Amino acid sequence: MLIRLKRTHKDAICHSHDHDPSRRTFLRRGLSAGLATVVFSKAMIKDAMAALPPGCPVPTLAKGALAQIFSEGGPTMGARFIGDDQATSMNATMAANYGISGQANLVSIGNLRVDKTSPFGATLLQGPPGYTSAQWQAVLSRVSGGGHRGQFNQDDGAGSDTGLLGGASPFKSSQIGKDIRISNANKLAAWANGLPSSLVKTPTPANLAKIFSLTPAAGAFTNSSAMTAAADGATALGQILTRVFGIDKRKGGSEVLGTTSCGFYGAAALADPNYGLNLFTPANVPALAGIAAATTSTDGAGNTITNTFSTQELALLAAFYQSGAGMAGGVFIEYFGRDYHGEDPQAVIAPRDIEEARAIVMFLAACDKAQSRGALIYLSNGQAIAAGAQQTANTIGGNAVTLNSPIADGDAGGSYNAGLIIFYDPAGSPPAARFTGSVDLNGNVKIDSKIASSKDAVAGLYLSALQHIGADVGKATAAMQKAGIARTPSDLMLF
Amino acid sequence: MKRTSHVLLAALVTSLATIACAPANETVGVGPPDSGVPSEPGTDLPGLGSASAPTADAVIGRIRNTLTGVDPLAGNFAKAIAQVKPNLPQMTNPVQATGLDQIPLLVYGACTDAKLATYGVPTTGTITANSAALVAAGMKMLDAGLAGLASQGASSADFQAALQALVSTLAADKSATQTMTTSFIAVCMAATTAAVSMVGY
Repeated sequence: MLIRLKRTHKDAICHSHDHDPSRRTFLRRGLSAGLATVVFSKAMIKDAMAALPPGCPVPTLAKGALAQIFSEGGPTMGARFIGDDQATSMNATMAANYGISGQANLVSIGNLRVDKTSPFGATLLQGPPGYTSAQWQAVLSRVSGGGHRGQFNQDDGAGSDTGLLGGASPFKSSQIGKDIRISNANKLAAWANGLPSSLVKTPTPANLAKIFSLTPAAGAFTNSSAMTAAADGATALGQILTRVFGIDKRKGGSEVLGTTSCGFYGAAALADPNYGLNLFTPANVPALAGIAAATTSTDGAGNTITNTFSTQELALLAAFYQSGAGMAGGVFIEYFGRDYHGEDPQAVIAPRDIEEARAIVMFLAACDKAQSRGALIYLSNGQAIAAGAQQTANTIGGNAVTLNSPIADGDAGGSYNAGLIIFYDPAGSPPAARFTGSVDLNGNVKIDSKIASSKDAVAGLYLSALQHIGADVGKATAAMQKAGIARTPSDLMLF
Repeated sequence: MKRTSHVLLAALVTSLATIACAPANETVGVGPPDSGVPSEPGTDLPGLGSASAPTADAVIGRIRNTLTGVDPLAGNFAKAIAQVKPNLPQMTNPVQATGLDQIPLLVYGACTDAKLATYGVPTTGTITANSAALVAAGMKMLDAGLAGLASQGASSADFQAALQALVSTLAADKSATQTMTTSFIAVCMAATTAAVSMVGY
């Protein structure tokens, strides 16, 4: 007798796996692998198990942090980090154009160089609260970097919103299965449209927790198994509606049903009122608890200095950590108000450079605590040329410092700009990445002919990042090619 | 081998039983005009076209249409909107839209505002004893969201079977104690999520 099994719409949508494990099998695989590497509360694991759907993308605790900082506007990019070639040929004109103090103050972080007296460089070198200078130097010794120079030159006008924000999920596997977007408002790269994510406008631990919680709290209203039963019920109803409306035969129908259905199962974990809080409150994360309340660090001379986390920094630390530990996909931050030309160096430019450098510090600390590889993409949609630097008095984590801050002069994305990337490897072997494009003695850049557009450059940065953390580069390449990226990965990538 | 969900299995068995028990001269889905069972909507239209994703405002509007007594400007529904709306779909392109996974979260907030009494569901008693009322509540929600399709269309028995399977699962739950409230909200979430976001438009 022939028994014909009717495929559900879940089979049609969510079945992208080579094998077809039972729910128990893939639960055991995913969670046992995760448990071996990351410490979670028993309740969280139980909730995750209860929520796991049959046939939906398999949640996996795959280590590897991926993040992006997008400075919207046109900051003094030359006063952030630069490459060896720029440092070697640094002269007074180039230093002035970049807004840094000069070659004498350049220090190495791997193959990168920063001005130790600039807001960006001083912040990166000071490190996070809870670290001694020696501990932080050890972290920085595991860093390398690179970038595509020359394509990010449209800081004002109609061409400024060209899709410079990328995405990581599902190329990067994770337990939550989605990215975290912070204040993202600009266009995403074409290949990143539709990737699963959740957005918060203001990064605080509470706000991040809120997007991974129920309103109102489950209390007497629901529980994990009732949510899973409801997801089963909705899926069964969806199957009937699929037949009624022919949804599975219509373009995009499977995507709509699948995302809703699989997301519903995932919501069961949120019945635990502490789920989001345990993810995004550093004091609740065992690996971060040791530094979460720290208010000092030490400087290079061994002196104790004030160094406290802001609420935003705590949120970023936790979000980056969850990306590194494999709970979340990538973390994508957009900073507004980075059109530096004409802005006051002390009141505006230095604080904003410090804010972004502190975010990078949080990223590296999170990778260190998660013992995970990491890749952080750092770019803007333009650049301001500087007229040298001026002394300013600012604070970094509450520590009063005197800095040489860029005097941003005018928009000059056509002179110098870059899409940068930082790699972190806990084993101390970050990739020997390259910078594309050449720089002349004024610091102006000439682009690499193989990286003709910001679209290509962003794709290359993301493929490099995904490659470094062990994510699915093939899947990402396919998505990029489908979205019009014609160059081969070897042309676009930095190593 | 993939384990078939017992809920889907129950729905399938019930629908097969319904078909088997139908009068010999009655064909489900394409019944004759005098059978009283209308054909599925759109079956006479050529082509298939594209599905579309509901945007945030559409989702909120549909939830309000589906559930009696919920207000997007008040109660938990309003609070959930404030929390979830930025993450709901912003575009109708079904391939590019993000945030569909957030719809059940918003539906949950609205369902906690819905009153059991409004749907004739007792607040006390066992789930098993009140299963008919829970199924009827789910059918009422589906009908409100789908213009009567659930109870009047050819798939009416299938909708009822799916809801009955859900209620039976809740009644038999050994991992947590399910109350009439948690059961009602589960039925509400299933029916409303399906009516709001699983129709392909």
